[in-house]
Amino acid sequence: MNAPADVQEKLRALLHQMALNSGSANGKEPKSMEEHKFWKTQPVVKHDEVVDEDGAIEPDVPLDQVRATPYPLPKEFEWSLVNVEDDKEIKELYELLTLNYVEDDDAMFRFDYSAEFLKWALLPPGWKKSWHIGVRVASNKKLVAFISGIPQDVRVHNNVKRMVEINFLCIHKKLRSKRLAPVLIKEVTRRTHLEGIFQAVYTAGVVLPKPMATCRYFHRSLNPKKLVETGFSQLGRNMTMARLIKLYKMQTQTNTPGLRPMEEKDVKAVSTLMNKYMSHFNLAPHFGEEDVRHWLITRPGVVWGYVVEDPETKEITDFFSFYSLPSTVINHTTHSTLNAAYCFYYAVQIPDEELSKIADVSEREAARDKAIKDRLTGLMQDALILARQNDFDVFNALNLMDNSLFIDDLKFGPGDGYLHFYLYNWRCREVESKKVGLVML
Amino acid sequence: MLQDRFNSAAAYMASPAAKKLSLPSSTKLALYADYKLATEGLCTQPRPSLLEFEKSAKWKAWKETGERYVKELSNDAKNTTSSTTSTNNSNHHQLKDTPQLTLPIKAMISYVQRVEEGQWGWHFDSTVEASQSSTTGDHDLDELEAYLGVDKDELSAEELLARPYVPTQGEIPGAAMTASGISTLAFTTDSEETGNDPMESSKSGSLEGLQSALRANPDLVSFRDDMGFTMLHWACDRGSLDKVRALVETYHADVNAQDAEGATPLHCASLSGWPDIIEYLKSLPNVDQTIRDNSGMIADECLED
Repeated sequence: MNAPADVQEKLRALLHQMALNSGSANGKEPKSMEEHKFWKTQPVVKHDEVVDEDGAIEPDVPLDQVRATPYPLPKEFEWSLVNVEDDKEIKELYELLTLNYVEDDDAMFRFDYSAEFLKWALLPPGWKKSWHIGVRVASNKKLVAFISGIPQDVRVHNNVKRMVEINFLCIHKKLRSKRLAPVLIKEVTRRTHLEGIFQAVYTAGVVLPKPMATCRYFHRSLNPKKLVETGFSQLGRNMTMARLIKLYKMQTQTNTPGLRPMEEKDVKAVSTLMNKYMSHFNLAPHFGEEDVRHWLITRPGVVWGYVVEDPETKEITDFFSFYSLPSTVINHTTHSTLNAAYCFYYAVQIPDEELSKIADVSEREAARDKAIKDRLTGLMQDALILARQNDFDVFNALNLMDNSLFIDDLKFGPGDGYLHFYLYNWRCREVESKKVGLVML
Repeated sequence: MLQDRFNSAAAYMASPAAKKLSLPSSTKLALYADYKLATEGLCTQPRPSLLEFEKSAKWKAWKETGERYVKELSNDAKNTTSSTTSTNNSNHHQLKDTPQLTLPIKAMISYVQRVEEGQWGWHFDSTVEASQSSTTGDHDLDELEAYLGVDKDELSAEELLARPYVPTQGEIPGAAMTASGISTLAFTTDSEETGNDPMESSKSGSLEGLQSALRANPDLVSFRDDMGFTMLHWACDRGSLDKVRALVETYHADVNAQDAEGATPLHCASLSGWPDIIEYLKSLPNVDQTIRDNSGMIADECLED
């Protein structure tokens, strides 16, 4: 007699579970089990949980009940805040990350955030020194692990919360057996609680409990030959290099009239434009003028910000930005670095008044997309041209915000990477990729 | 706190709901041993008669698990005390006196883990079940300390850092969880491309691969695909100087062959922008640089910028 399929499935799951358990008895459990064990203790949504109402998972912790001292580390390590403003210390951080941070699945590329980039990323308005958390080897003071947080107002559906954006969690490759990641996460959580913040947002390429949104990477080749040579992309059997080059060839000059680098005087107009545009999304940052000034004005080698000024009315009608995140090409004879530009924030004007006349929600959304598609595609075409002018090899974008409106027309190709968005201590309904309006570095 | 979680888990396992689970006896014995070690410590009772099977089995589990835990704890202690003592440096905040894991805590952790991972229906609600005695206000500190304390890695950080890096099998990039993995362009193989391609060795792979294909079938050097490409066209397009030289010098490929659009190998190298191949081809006495393709361009006019 055959058991029904669902019973068999449950049996298989049970056997799998038992195998993992017996593994844990001798202390040799797989790493995924270790991580799973840790996340089980944390206020995050569980994999099998369905959320229909948003809210905190745990109540806020009163200050007098927050643990006052750092969590204990294994004896040979010590906590050490990294002074990001100090040239020597930012260099130490740069070296830790450039040698030990995220790689692709085949270990061909590793992120190579520049020191200037790290300063930009870690010192936004309201930054806290106590959230730049390093771990050193006690005996020789070598920096071997890091985790950071920056404050950010984030709106999830209809709730605006002061959150901490967690980023740059990195542990020296050779010390990954030391299980430091959970302590780093707990320590940054404690330091966040000390500042009266109880929610965090973070992203990862891996699946943890539980993504509130999942986006896919898309890549627009700017220097196809180098991308093929480094293995970033591959030529189909009947595709010639000559045709590939022709396919991705671009104009050298931008097209949008009134396009110019963003300046200090544009901060107010860009803030208004951006927050209006962002209201469409269900996960979005709220940027004050200070934030706009910090994140969106061009910093050479780090971030590029452009606005469109109407030649007649002098009104700022649109803006876009992209940032530089190169990757080290691991063990390559002729290329050492892949220069990648990443699509950052942008905004176009939305004809709200006309759209509000459409009662049906899906019809209204379709009309909105139609109204902005051509304008946005033209702007991003210019972004690609500017990126090429600045010697970038590839322009990357996730399928978040309105990116899906231009990725096909502008010849982006799908990537093999996904980015999952997570919230800590905030249960929320899942968000479609096109309703994600938050870009994390 | 761990104590609260342990109490709650133990109460659940004694409840009628848990009694219905019919767990295997090995699981029950492991839970029994952890429970006794957590509440009463090491087994000091005399061995029961061998004929009392159940009592014997329980006694054995309690006794042997206790001995194993003691051994593991002493190994951990050795590891931590033998590690290098640090010099005091006022610039770096340092924590001293990492609490040592004790036998009851180790047993409690093991018990709670078993009940959690068994998924027998136990859930811990800290807001309801936390005891008033909780002093740290931090419910899982004990577990975290234990989590670090039971590190079996005998090598110190310094020793590990001094060794060459060998990635462990199936290593999850868990140490860099906050960023994405780097995405590269997804490669989709055309379904019609799965057949045998006689030109393959000129497009990809090693020089040896090309040589062995040509040794097996020397006529390949003048074979043309549906685009009119020869192997030399492909090698010039893809940018392999080694293959270009072999095709020209060993296999006497036609350096002026024109594809369906009239392009020569030199056109291909120019369109793709391979300076070393362009230079090599131009150095050959029989190359005709004046050949125009169907659009009327000579190779030099096609140069990729």
